[in-house]
Amino acid sequence: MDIIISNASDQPIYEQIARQIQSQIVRGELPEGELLPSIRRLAKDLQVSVITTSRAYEELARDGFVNMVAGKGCYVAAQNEALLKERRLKMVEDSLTKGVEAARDMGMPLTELIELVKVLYREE
Amino acid sequence: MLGLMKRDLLVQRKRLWVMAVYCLLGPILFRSMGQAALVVVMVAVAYMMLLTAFAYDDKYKVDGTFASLPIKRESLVVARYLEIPVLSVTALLLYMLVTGLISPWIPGMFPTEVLLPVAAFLVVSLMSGLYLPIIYRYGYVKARIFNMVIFLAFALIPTAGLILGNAGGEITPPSWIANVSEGTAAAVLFAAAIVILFVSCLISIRMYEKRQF
Amino acid sequence: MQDVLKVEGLTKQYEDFTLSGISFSLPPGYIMGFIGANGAGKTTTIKLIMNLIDRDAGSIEVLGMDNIQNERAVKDEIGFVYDNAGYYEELTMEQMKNIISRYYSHWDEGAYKRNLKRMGLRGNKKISDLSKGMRMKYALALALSHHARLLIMDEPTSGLDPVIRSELLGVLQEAIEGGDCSVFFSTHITSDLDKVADYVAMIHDGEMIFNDAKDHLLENYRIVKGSKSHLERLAGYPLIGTDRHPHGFSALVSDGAAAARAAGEGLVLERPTLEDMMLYHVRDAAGVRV
Repeated sequence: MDIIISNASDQPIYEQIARQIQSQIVRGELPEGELLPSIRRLAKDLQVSVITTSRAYEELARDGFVNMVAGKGCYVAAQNEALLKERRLKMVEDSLTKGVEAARDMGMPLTELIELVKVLYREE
Repeated sequence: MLGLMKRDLLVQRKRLWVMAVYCLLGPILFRSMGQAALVVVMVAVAYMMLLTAFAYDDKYKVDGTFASLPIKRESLVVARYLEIPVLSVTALLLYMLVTGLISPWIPGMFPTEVLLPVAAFLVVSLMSGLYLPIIYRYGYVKARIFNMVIFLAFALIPTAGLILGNAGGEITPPSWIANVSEGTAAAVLFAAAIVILFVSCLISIRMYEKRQF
Repeated sequence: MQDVLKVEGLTKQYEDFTLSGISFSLPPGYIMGFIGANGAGKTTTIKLIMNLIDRDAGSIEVLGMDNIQNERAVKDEIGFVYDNAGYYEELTMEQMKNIISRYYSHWDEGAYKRNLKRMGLRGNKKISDLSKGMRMKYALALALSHHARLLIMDEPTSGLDPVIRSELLGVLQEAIEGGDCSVFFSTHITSDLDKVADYVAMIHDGEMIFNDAKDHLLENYRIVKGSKSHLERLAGYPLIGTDRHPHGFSALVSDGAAAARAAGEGLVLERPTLEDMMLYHVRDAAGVRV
């Protein structure tokens, strides 16, 4: 499980962890039923506080990506296809929203934005 | 308790040679005092070794460490008091060994009366009995001034006695000493020493329990 | 779950310094950083917890036990590491260990040997031959060898290089990995705690300045920097440790978003480190006194 934390980023660390694990689950890199490292183990490995990893897992559990089993740990939850697709869709939507807002802020016209999207999509 | 005493032994092991040297030189240097040299040597050695334990504790600042361990401050105090008879007996045995060995050349030093060692023990008890509570209350460094006072007192009083005695004739010991048997006198002195140590120990425990680090 | 360490209303008066109303609690399995400038009262607080000095008021509970009434039971559960450990220098590590270990009811010789190895303390040196860093590691090895549930450390890393400090943090995280050991760590080198502390409490001039989960502090507090006009717009807003200079100002605020809204556009917001938190609060306190 690859997790890369940036201390310099504005995004809270627990969120960085949660989002990165979430992406891996959504992309299928973390299969259903896989046991995630304990919050304490993860905290030690990433050199962050236990409260941080604890929150990350709570977020993931709240969003349905993992199940916390008392006494055993955190397991990747079953992601049914429709749900997965919906989640992936949401991720794209979120990213696009950010892009759209940024474009609006700087006054970029819609046509220019669409052109930009086309260029970026074709880039490999 | 035993552990704490072993600790002091371990920490001071280099100084044990000093103890041996005192016991070796003492009877030789003080042979003019005859049997009484035993008192001087026993008191000097036992008292010195006892105080060295406190000196090392202070030097290495271990008081805070021991106070942080799950050990009663009372135990720390009692262990030191138990060392007083142990040190006294050790000094006595060493003295006996040395005087026995040197008797072909320096006869008459080997202790024959039981009164003298007991008297020495009483003196040690009295000196430590007075000094230790002060150490436990104020810490070794601040207490050293009192050490000077006590030491001088115990050194000066017999000297003063000798001077006065020589000036005004014989020193007469208290009448009761002359009238009882040696055994009884020794027992009384011994009991007195024990009582002094016991009372002093209780005071020291109070002092140390209140001590702030 | 019962707090491992619970301090309430702790007060101690000296001639020239008073510790007053210190309160905080530490749940099991977490690391709490206790930060403050030199002389702020960190060591005094620790001495009070260890009953090395008497308290004037307040209560101290370790695992639900009063630290004075159950002194020995409490100390049995505590591993301590002080700055300037007091050990008999003439003795070897093994000899000193033998003296200390007998007083702990859960002494684990195997753990001790593993700890020494983990810290890279080889052989059986005389304590006087240990460097400052090795001495701290030795103290830590001892502290972690009797299944202590609370590890109390008073400035353990002062005078030590960043490499050792980093190693120490690794060891601490291992120590709490099982969830049954907690760490209370006082320091003025806050960079140590920036990453791994779960809770942070700051003390200044004998008083508690803040006490919260570290994430919460660092997510909400912000350093704000701006121009004089920003400062004017922020009049009346709670700014901590405002530093006015010829070209603008900087200050600490407890709610970055709210401050940004009040000051308007152009205000620069930065995430503070614990050191920043400490500096701005200290400056704030100094300002008040003036």
